[in-house]
Parts: sequence; C-alpha cells; structure tokens
Amino acid sequence: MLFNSYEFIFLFLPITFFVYFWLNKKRLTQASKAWLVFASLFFYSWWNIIYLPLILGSILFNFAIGSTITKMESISTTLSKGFSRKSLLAFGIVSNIFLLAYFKYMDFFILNTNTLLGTQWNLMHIVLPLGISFFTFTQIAYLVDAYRNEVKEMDYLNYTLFVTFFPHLLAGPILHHKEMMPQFDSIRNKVVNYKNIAAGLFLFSIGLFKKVVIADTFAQWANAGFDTAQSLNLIEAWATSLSYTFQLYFDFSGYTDMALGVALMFNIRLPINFNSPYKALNIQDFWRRWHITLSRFLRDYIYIPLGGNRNGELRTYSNLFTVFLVGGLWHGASWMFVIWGALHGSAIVIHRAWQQFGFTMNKYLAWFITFNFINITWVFFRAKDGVHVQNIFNGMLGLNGIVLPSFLANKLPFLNQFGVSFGRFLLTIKGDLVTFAAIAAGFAIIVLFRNSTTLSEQLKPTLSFQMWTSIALAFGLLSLTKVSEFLYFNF
Amino acid sequence: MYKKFSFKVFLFVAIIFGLVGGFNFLVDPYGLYRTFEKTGINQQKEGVRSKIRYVQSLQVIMQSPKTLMMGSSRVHDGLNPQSKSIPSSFQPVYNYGMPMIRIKEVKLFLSHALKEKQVKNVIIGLDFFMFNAKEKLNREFDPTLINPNSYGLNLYFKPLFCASALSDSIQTIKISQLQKKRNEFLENGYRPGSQVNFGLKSYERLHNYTNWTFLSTNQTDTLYYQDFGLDNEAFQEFQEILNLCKKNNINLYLYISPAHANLDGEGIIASGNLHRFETWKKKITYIANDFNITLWDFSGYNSVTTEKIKTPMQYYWDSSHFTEKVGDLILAKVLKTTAITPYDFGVALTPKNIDSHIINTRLQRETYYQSHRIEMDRLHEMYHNALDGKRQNPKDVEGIF
Repeated sequence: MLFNSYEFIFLFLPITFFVYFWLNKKRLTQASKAWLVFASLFFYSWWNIIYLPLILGSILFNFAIGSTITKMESISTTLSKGFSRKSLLAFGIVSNIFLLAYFKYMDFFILNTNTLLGTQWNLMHIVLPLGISFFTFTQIAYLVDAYRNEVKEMDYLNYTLFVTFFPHLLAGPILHHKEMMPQFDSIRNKVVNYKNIAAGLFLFSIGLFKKVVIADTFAQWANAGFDTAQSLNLIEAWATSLSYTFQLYFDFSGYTDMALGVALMFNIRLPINFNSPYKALNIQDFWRRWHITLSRFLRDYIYIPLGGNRNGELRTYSNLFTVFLVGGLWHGASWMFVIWGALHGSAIVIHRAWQQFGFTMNKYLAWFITFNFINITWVFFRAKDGVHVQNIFNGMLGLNGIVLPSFLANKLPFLNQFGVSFGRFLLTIKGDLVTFAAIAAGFAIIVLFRNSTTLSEQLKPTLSFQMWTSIALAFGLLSLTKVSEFLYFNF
Repeated sequence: MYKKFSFKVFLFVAIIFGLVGGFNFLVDPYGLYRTFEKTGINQQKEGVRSKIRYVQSLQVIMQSPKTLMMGSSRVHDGLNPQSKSIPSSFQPVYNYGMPMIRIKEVKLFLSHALKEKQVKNVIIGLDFFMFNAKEKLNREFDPTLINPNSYGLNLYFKPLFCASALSDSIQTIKISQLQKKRNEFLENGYRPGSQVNFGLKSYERLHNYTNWTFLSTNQTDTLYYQDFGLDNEAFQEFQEILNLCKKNNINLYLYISPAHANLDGEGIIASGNLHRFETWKKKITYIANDFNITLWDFSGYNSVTTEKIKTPMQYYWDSSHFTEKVGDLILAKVLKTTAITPYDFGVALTPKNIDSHIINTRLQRETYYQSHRIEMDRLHEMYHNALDGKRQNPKDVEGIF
C-alpha cells in the first residue's frame, strides 16, 4: 500500500489509528502492539501477499540470531563462546546479504557472467520483494548492535513491530533498534497527543503535496526526456536533468515526510532523513543532508568497520570510496548505480584532499559546483543505460543543436549564424513555459525555504499553519488520481 | 488548542472538496451530468477532447442506448445518431466511435457496453488501419475504463474531486466564452465534423495534412499506413465481435468506410499496401458471410470518394473524414431506409462477387488516375517524401484554420 493512495488515507490510516489508541485506552498494551504489527503486515501484503512469508521468515531468523548473541553474552564470556558469538554474527550478516543478493542482484550477476564468460544462463526475472533493501539493512544493524551489547530488548513482538512498523517499512528511514524500542514502550506514547497529531498531519500534508503535486509535475518532463526522447536540444536536456533532480528530491523527501508524519500521529519519532540537501555547499555536506539514515548506516556498519580514518590518509580515501561504491550498488542492480557511486566517492575523496590542503572557496561558487555535480551525476542514477546517459549529455553540451523560444528570434537574430534556431524549444519533452516556471520555483523552494521538518517543529496552531496544511492536503488529495488522457486527437 | 488544529484542517479540506466538487459538477467539463448548460459559459465541453475514451465508456452506460455506432473517428465525426436515415425503432442511438481505434479495442469496448442489456443493434464502420498488426492496441489504452471495479470511481469521484478535472473545467469556461457557437461533444456521443473542424479555412491544406500523417515515417505518434502488417489475430478479434453479437442476439450492421480515394486508394497504393488491403477486404467478407451478415463497401473510387478537392466540399472534411451528408447516405443504405443514394455508392460484398469487385476497383482506379494525372503526380510525390521521412513543406499546411 502506498501512502499516496485512497485506501491508505481514507481507510487504513484512520482504522489503524483508532483501534490502536482504543486498545491502549483499555490498557491492552500488548494487544495494541500486536494490532500495529498486524496492520503493518496487512499494509505490506496489500500489493502482493506472496512475500509475506519472506519478511516473517527474515524477522524470525534475525531475532533468533540476535537474541542468541545477546544471551551468550549474559551467560558466559569464555574465549570459545566469544569466538562463536562472532561467527554467529558473521553467519547472520552473510545470510541477510545472501537474501538481498538473491532477490536484488541475481539477474545482474547472471547478465555480467554471461557477458564476461560467454555463458548462456537464463535470467531468473525475480520480482524484488517490497522494502527488502530497507528491512535487510535495518536487521543487519540490529545484529551488529546485539553483538556490541547495545540491545536490551528481547521480546519477539517488540522486535517484529520495530522491523515492520508500517511508516518506515517500504522506503525507510533506516532505523536503529535503540532509537525505536524505548519509544514503543514509553507509557506516555500510549495516549493520544494532539500536538503530535497536528505536527504529523502537517508533515503528512506537506509530504503528500511534495510527492503528488510537485514531484509528479516534474516527472512528466523527466520521463519524456529520459525514456522516450531520441535527441534532445540544449534546453530540453537541461530541463530534463533538472526536472529529474527536483522530482527525485520532492518525491523521496515527500514520501519520507509522510512517513515521519504518520509515525508522529502514533507518537513515534522517526529519525530525520532529509535536511535541505540541495543547499549543500560541498559533497560531504550533501551526504550529511541527503538520505541521512542511509549515510549513517554506511558510516557505522561499513566505513568504521573498514577502519574509518584511523589507518592513514590513503586507507581513509579507499574506505570512503568503497563505502560509496556499496552505497551506489545498494540503490539498484545496475552498472549505472555503480558509476554514480564511484563518481560520488571520487568527489568525496577530492573534497577531503581539498580540505586537507586547507583550501577554501566562495560560498556561492561552492553551492554552484556542488549542485551541478549532483545534478549531472543524477543522470547516471536515472538513465537506463549508457546510451541514454550519452543522449542526455550530448544534449546538455549542445551537440544536438540549440533551439531558443521563438519570441527571441527578432531580438537575437545574429545567433542564427552560430547554428542556433528558434521555435518550439521544449517540444521533445512535451514542455512549455510552465516547465521554466516550475524549474525556477523548484530552485526557489530548495534554496530559500525552510524544510518541512524544521517547519513542523515550529508548528503553532495559528490560522496560517491551518490554512497551509489544509491547502496542501486538499490539493494532494485532489491530485491522487486523474482521468487517463488519450493523445491522438484525430483519425 | 492542537485538538482544534486537526479538526479545523479537516473542516477546511472538506470545504475545499465541496467547492471544487460543486464547481466541477456545474461546469461538467466531461458532459456527464448535464444539469446546467449555458452558451458562453460551458456549452463547449473541452474536457472531453483528450479524454474521449473515458467519457464514451461512461456515457454509453448512462444513456442506456438501444443502438450503438462503433468505429474510428470516421464514425465518431460523421454518423449522426439523430440522422433521418435511422428508423425510429432504433432510438435511442449512441455514437460510440473513438479516434484511432483498433479492432481489439472495438471488441473490448463493445463487451463493456453490452453489460447493459438493452443494446439491440450495433453498426460498425470498419477501417483498414484498425487491423494493423504492428500496433494492436493504442499505447494509451486504459483497461481501467472497462473494468467494472473502477466504474463508480470513474463516474462519481474522478470527474468531481480531481485537480485535472478542475483545470478542465476552467478550460471549458475559457473556450466556451471564446467560441460561443461551438458545441463539439454531444450527449449522444456524436462529435459533429462541422464542430471538430470549427473555423476550417482550407480544405485542400487539411487534406495535405491528413495525407501526410498517414504515410509520414517521421512525425507520428501512432501507426497508420507507413508501417503496416496483417496477421490472424486481428481477424480473430473481428470474428469474436461477430460472435459476441450473435450470442447476445444483436443485429449487426457492417460497412467499410469511404475515405477519400486520394487516401484509401492512392495512399494505400503509395505505401505498398494494396495487396494487403485487398486481402483484408476478402477475409472480412468471408468472415461476415459465415455469420450471415452483409458487409457493405463504400470505399474505392465512386462518385462520393472521388469528389474534387476544393474549399468547401460537400462530402469530406479531409481525406479521412466524411461529412454528415455521407454518413446519412451510408446509414440509409446499410439500414435499408428509403433515401436515394448515388447508384455507385456502396456494394454489398459476398464471397461470390468479392473477386470481381476487387478487379473493378482496380479498373476504376486506373480511370481515376489517368484522368487526374497532374493532381496524382503531385500527390504521389508528396507521399514519397512522407515515406522518405522528410519534413512536410510548411506551405502545404499553413493556414488550415
């Protein structure tokens, strides 16, 4: 089930909410937790129930491993037991990675093996279970925390709730066991808190608006430019890449806002995942603001175990680069993601070296370079393959020609001799002047506005907050669906 | 304080929903409810333009018609449900034509309409392009339109509580003000050609535009004659339509549309499809005969289809779409009502006469070609340019409207 669907907003959420707090009011706290688990599993199975056993099996397995690791610690700490704790942890992690690898990377592996070794293995066309990348990482973190003796909780119901709690189940944020469990147990969180509901409603409404109004508007141009266009002129190519840059941010951060908002209605605070990332002044800054919980995971469970910055500069550079390669591949099974990760890894390394030398840079120039780097590297993130990347880049470099709006034809006629033509300049991506206005508005929002999390913390029950929340929610709801269009007008 | 906050937000949202829904209901940009209609405000239902399938799929159920007219835009723009050629026992008639429809889609939309049991007669205008094996369904065909689960949502929710409906309402008001005399999308499904081509200035250039579209390999959203193939699947779909009608005791009337000879004669020849066209005619003749249904052929080179291209014309809007006058002639012949039609317009095809009919058509073509040499040379040069992927000469198409 998606947050931006009628069934979620009008049925699932209200029912889950009222039953949860009704059970709590009756002091049936275990039942209320069980209800939330049931609701979350229902939420998960809505699209396809076939993967329900998979997630349940994964939870049971990890809980068994995790609690065994914890128990072994409390029983004895002899050398041999200590060794087997470690091997149990290794077994747990490898199993999780194997599961993820099987479902997410099998076809990618087969394809590459076929290319490299000339084998003829058939692709398996495995459908990726929803949220597997998220619940696998969440549980790996849990196992490591258990090994580090940071896990006190050993209740199966609590653990299941932590993994399946529906607001974060499909698209994060990636949670830490220790930041969630106390919240589920706190007595204060069992009663309806109207301030949290108001803040949650605000976040949800803003998130919904960001996703279905803003992101989906940009999506039409981004999709046209990336998927269907044969050749893009200069303006079309930049409009395409910027549209995607905005689409991705408003889509993902909007979805996260909705997750945070819904969780808050249940008095659960999920960790912040986006903090105005496009305001970043360098690439390191960007990764402290973009998908923060993923960065945190990669830092704590890959970068630091690799040695972090403790083994000299060269090792630090290689550790950073490795982290970004893994981060890239985590996003999807394709070389495009690996290239994207490598580019960001290289940028991080360059930035670190730059800092080591003590160089500084003008703030505006720094923002400009950082934003453009991010914008250009998103092309690898979005494009299906190298051909598409090249198509966009050729356009962005002006190799497919430059077409300017026709009203400039009289003002800048001399440009004709440089091969510039005038006419319908956004034709290929089905855009018009609205595209320009939207991109300008996109820039204004990402640079000038406070982000939704900050705003939600400043929420006051004033008329203006009420109005903005209502308008965002109403337009979000009005934009959830539309009548399907048909574009061949004649014949 | 915060308790009121959420409550007020819900209240505001409800008010916004009420206002938007009420506004859309009154303006009615898809012409579904027709409770309030005023010239200069909302007579021209602009919302329908890009959502014809959506609107037709709902109207056909809402109107409970006894007779359906199905086919491509040639049917949609040319057959008037109120035509004098239709016997009154056929009423109410609904024009269920849709732009660029393929034979599979005809079947799907027909079975959707037959969910309402009162349909007794179906008239289908057949076009060669419907059977193209290279594109069996339009890329934008939306299966939820004929899915009963989404019917309530499509009828009562989307047209009222949707941001896109709101913008269609605004567009409806805007165009209704600008073009007060225009009323293009009627309640009975008909989209009169005179309204489609509102403000048409040059018939010649509109012909050029259409001819080019059918053969151009450069600027096309969908496939016409530039890339065409035949396979059995399309004929099976056709057969299933006939079966469906037989099973439901429906009187079925079939005819082949009369596009202008310059297109559904010369255009088919220029694109190398003549042999396929003749095979197609033969096959559908045999299939119709198996079901004891008369198939009328109005295409070819007759006194209607060879009308001289000029401004204005009595039989054609462009080379693909005939006028209501032709629609009336077709209906009179197919439904056997008493109206005088030109003697050479409409041949009932049977397995016995189909071969001689094809030879006759070839002979008539030869006569037409020889007697219009200058025009034909120009036309075929244009067709070859279109097939070569060239861009159309702007002078051929400027100032159509």
